[in-house]
Amino acid sequence: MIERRVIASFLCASEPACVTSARSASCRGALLGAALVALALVALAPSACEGGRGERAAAPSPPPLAPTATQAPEHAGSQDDLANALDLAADSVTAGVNEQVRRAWRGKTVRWQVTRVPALCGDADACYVQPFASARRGARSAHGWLPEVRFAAGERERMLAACASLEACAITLEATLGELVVSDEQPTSVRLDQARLVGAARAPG
Amino acid sequence: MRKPLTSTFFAAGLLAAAASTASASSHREAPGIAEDQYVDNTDVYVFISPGDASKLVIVANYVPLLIPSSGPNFYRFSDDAIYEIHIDNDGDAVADLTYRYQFDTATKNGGTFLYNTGAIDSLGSANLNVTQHYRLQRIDEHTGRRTTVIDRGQVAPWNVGKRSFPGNGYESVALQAVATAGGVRSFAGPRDEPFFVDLHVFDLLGVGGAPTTDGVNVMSLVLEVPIAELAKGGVRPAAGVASKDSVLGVYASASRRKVRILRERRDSDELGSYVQVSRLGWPLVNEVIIPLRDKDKYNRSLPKDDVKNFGAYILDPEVPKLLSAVLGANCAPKPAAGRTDIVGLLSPNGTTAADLLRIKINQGQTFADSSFPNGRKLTDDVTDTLLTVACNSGAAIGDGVNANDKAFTATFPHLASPHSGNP
Repeated sequence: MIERRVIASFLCASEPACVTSARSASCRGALLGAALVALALVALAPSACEGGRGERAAAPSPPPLAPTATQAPEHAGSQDDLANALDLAADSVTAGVNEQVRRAWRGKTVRWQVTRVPALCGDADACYVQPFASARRGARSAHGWLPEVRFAAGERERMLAACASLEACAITLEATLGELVVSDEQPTSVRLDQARLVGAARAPG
Repeated sequence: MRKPLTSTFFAAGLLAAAASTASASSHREAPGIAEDQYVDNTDVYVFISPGDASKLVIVANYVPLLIPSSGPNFYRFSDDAIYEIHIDNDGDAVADLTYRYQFDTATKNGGTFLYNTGAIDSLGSANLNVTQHYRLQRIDEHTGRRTTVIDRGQVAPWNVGKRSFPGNGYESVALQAVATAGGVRSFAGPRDEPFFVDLHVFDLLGVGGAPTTDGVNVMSLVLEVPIAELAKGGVRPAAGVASKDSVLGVYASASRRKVRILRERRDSDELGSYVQVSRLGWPLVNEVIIPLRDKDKYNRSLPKDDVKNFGAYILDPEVPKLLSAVLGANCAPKPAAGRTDIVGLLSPNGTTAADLLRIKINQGQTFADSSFPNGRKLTDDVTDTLLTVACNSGAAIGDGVNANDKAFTATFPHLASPHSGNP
């Protein structure tokens, strides 16, 4: 925030000195430039000339900048949100909608609770988890994709320790949605990168 | 005693998938392939040869539900497609070997509409006006090396009828189409449809033991190969070894050229690289596990990606819910972990779970051991097996159709002779 005295000195520079030479081009240019900047500063800052030559009444403080819709949320959304987006894209006849979904999700941070079973996530080379514990209530359709999980260093071991011998382990992962294939021609697939274990418990059911 | 289904067998999922006509293991199972009959996989069978336990028999069937009297242009394979049998011998669900069939049709006399101009007593008969030949290649998927196994095999002719093949002479002519090269035997041609099932499920779920695939034919590729030629490193694993390498995974596919240009004044052009349009390993996966929205995508994709693409459908299949809801079958509820039992069937010996028909090939394995899901014999009632597995209620469930209309043979090519177009 620009200090008032700086603004005041800028705007309320010695007028007599400038007035007597106002007719000179350099001074007129300087004054015009200063005026434009001053207008901008006045719009942004509190009253500039308080305490200086030509006191003015203090302008009311503008409200703080409100968050806009373009600011990304902390987490991109749940797997249900993604599934709903995929359903909408599948129904859409608008060109480019698949790419819109990819751009909206790829690279974003997600925090999902998923189900890990040893049969599909026991091998160090491959880990796939169930994104939906049961059929999505009210959902338009089922989805076949199982997210592939690539753990951050040490996190796979944490997961194995947390899940121990559980046949179905509900794990909460925070990860980057690293790959998302959304296509009219190819099956949907999802990959979570740099996954970090946030929590683990026996899966319900 | 198996309890026959009193109502539907796969219910809404199959009804939605089956379009307008009958559907069996994987016949017309996806919207796209239903419009391209000649490259539609129908079934894959894999079993240790009953006559030679050192050899494996692979059957890949295409072009579903063929009416015998289907002239004047009787069914054949497409000259513009490639038909392939893929072998995974190290358990990663990626093909290590591929056997590729490509076909070429010739017409001796285009001035007649006749398929044959007289009685046929041999494959080389001058009266056989329309003939189809094939080349069989073996492709090493690691090196890309292609070896021609059979350069010009002949496809068995259609069983046109008793006047074209007098004296019940058809089968003796058809068997002349068995080609041998080294230790490999190959047959291509029409056979009796071996898949047996009651398809009245599509009449408002009215299944009741009717053998609805009786009396139709299919186009078959039958291959018999020494197991050692298929095994990793060329060595058949010893008895009792339970490794990924002691299980072969098999699936069949068909591919077409990427671009087809229709011409007004001449035949169309087929251009570009080949694109897979159909594939099949296990019976009934794309039929009743994969929903409509993904069926065509399934046909384009590879088995190695099945878990990430379609795994949720396996873990939470639709079939048992329908069996319970519609038939009162009292199927077991889905466990919290999902149907990992089915995943286990798809991944024996720790192999990568995928839609491959897998069979153990250890020394000592015989034809008797080749019983679905360890391979698949022609006599295996996979419908009953899969219904029972899917429901998981402890009770056996079946469709009431337990055998084929024709007997299979212990001798190559094992499938029964096709039905005559004029018996």
